[in-house]
Amino acid sequence: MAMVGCEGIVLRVRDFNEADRILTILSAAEGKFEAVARGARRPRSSMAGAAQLFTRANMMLFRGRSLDTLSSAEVLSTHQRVRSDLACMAYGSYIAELTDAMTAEREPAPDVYSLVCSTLAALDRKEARPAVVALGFEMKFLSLIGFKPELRQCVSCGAREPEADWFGPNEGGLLCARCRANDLTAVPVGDEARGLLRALMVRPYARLSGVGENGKAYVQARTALRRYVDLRVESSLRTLEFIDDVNSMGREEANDSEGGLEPDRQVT
Amino acid sequence: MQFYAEPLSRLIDELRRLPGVGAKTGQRLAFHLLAMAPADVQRLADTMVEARRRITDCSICGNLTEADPCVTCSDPSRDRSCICVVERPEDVIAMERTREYRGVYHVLGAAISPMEGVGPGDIRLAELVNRVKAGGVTEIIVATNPNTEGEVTAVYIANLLRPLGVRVSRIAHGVPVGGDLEYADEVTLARALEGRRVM
Repeated sequence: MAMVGCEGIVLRVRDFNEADRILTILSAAEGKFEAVARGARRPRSSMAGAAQLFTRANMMLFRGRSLDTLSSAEVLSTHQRVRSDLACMAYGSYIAELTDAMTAEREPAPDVYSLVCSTLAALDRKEARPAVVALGFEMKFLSLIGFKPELRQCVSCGAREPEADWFGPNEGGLLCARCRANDLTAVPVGDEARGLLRALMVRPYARLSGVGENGKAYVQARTALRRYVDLRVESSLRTLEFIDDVNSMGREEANDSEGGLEPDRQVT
Repeated sequence: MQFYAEPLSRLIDELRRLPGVGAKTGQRLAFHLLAMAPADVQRLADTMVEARRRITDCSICGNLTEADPCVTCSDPSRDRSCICVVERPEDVIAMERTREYRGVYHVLGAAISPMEGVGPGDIRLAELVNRVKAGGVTEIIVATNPNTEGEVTAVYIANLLRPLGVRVSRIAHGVPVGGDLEYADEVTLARALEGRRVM
């Protein structure tokens, strides 16, 4: 068996056999692949730390026919804050699941790898706003893998802004009032929402810190992007359902005068 | 093409529903069962059915038990002011093996996991809050697994219970007893350093 080394990030962890774990790993050179970390659930395992969700590590692997075997790992980052905050973990898991769902196995993906690393690093910051980071990731990620939406003019007739004030997920970009009938899933996107969508695409996460999460523009941009993602991902994402469930639970509890489950912070 | 007789095929399919049992293992177990004496197979089947029928969840702690409440919850010598929160019934056995802990338990049933779709509402957190609200509890020891899901569950529990004025502690993480530092991974060693204590 050949041995290969790579830097990778763990996108998914599944228990396997008595004490093993199967990791879904994303690396720049190898793309997405699966590897088994033998004995990683045992306390004495030297790979227990590396075989965790969101861990970025330098890994040595034995190449297998269908499954690689993790031989050793040097942890570069555990993204500790992402792992210990419900909102960060929920959105971090969404980012990992979306990446897993939309990348092919064994296809080099240096740009996607770099984006996932910078996104998890952004989520790991104390001042991070997980919902905004996830929104930024959706836009950057889709643009990177070939689904960059047209955000300057109507994709159907070429009418420029501000005439093109609808977003058509099926059509893949802005639509004007005349052409919006071409896409029954189209949603309105005002001036600010269009500006926000463009900002999400090009600005680094540090420059998205001023984005307000309750304004009309944010809600419009989020609705447009959510529909766009739903359409491109062919399966339903468990983590999105989780985020919706936790949000609705938080809203119910906020309305409940007795308190009930009162988390430190609601996932928004 | 049908490789197996229909009853055998069904047996393999049923065995494959067990955790860690794939096609090969299912086939091996099924052939082993067919090689056993009929009385032994009957005894195994009866034992499985009886265990499933007689074992339930303890209405207080959620651990598996034959009598409700369970042996631990009904033991007067146990310290009811201290509750150790674990993910699964197997973890209660692991804690009991230490012979160090004299408090009671609370079994969550799972850990919060967005990837698996397990949210705070899917585990026995409301029951834990009710136990604390009922009074008499001074400390909650969170002994969820030291992995991503266990950590976020522990932090969520701490945030949930802090307003109730109860002390919430987390089991220590670090170098295993008898292990050499040289072979410990970076994450474990970093945690061991964080959780060091004055001697």
